[in-house]
Amino acid sequence: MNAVVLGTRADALPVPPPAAPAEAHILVDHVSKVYESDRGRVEALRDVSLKIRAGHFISIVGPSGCGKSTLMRCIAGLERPSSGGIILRGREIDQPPENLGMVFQRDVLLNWRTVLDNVLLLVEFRGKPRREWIDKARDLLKVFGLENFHNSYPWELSGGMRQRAAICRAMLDDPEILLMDEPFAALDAFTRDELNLELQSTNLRTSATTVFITHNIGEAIFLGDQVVVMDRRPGRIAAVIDIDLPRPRPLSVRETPEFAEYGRRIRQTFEDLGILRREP
Amino acid sequence: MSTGGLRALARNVRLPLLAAAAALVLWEGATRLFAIPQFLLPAPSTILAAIADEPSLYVFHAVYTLQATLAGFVLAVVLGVACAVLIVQFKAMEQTLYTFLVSLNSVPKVAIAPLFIVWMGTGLNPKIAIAAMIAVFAIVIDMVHGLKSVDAEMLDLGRSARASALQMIWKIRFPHALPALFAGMKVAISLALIGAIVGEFVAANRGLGYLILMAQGQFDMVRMFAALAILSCIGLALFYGVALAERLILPWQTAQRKALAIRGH
Repeated sequence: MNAVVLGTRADALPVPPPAAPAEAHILVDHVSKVYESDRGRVEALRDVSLKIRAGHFISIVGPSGCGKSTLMRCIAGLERPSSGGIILRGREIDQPPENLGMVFQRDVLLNWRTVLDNVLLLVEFRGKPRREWIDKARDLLKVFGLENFHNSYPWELSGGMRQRAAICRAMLDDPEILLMDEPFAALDAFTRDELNLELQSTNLRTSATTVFITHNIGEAIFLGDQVVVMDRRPGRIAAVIDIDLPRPRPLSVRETPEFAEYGRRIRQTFEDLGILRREP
Repeated sequence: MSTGGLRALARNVRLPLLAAAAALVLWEGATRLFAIPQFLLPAPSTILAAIADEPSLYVFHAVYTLQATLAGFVLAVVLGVACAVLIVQFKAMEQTLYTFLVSLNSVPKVAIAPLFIVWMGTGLNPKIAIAAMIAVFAIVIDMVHGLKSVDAEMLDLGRSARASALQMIWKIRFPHALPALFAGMKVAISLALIGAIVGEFVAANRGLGYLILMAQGQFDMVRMFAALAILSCIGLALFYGVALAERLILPWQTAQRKALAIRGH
């Protein structure tokens, strides 16, 4: 099994050895997150542990309010866990990692920038010279079928094209870690299928460790090397399922018995948790 | 602007122009029909003739008022944007500077105007200061709102790439706030004109406000109306100047408004 639920605390772990390819790239170690507010105490995550290997694609699937976004924000260094920690290459994450790409449900493109300038935004933030990245940005836009829209503005594009541009922006400087929070949730089924294929093929070429959040079981299986099933309130990991389907996976893989079996197991887990109603 | 844009513009101004012309005709007709004496309400034709008679007099005074208005407006925009950035960036500034501005705004500014004359004399400077003081609040309110209304996800995106505070302001918050800034500027430009006239009412020897006061002293109703007519033309021109700048600088804003209008119909 590639991901194990750890039994030891971070402080009891030995100093991690230099990262070998099979070692954990990201180690989520007994992470809990509690939000205190005037309206009371919300426990978003309880004792979540997860080992993510370098270059792996992890799908996290769970109902709304299961804390999957909180988990992602903790991995991104945008939030600190209330207890436990997230260790990246042996160092605890206390700020966003240097080489991180993020994609959100909404594309958050800047309206006043052209598509090309939007893709170059994060490179500018990181203080890298823009000139050296323009060609790369053009190539990437071409991969995602946006070669004719470099100088278009986001408000001139369709939802699917906008999300493609947002993915290009996240992938431009070859992120080590790619975090995607329901990136295709707002798109129609056809666009979603297309983007699933495009994401898979770019992911096979790059070696980004990817955490992909979705509430669509089929999408989670199709894209993931592993599917992490989460229970809600407080968010906990209910199961980690390895997906052994050969890549590249065509869309038709979804009609195979293996795929159906994975879907059945995940649904079964949700039924056991009382999240999905058991079919009569 | 494309010919399509010009045609659209022509379509948009046709109705307001027709309405204004109709009002003028009614006004002209009423003064003639009821033989309203000139010292109560002069006819539009009389007012126009008065302006045509002494154009240099009106230009002389209008230029002065326009100077005070524009300088006050620019000052208000610069100060207002700076204050808004400080208020959004530092919690302490929100509690001090913002509160101070709100209390300043609750004082009738016409009542403060004489102070500026004492401090700065009777030249152009106190008019600029009064114009800026009256206009600045609209800028601060709208700009603070604009800077604060950035999506949380957009800020997360910046933070995930370790953007500096300056980059966050300059590349995300500030451009995002531009539509709100323009909304504030449309209000502020009219307020600046009011401020300039208030300044001239208190103490001046030049400007359209001064001209109105002098004409009033001499019961010269035609001149008063002539100055008022020029004043309203200046006000309109300034407002539409800002609106035009908005169209040119924020094309996405106009496009989105259009898209919403199409969906609405």
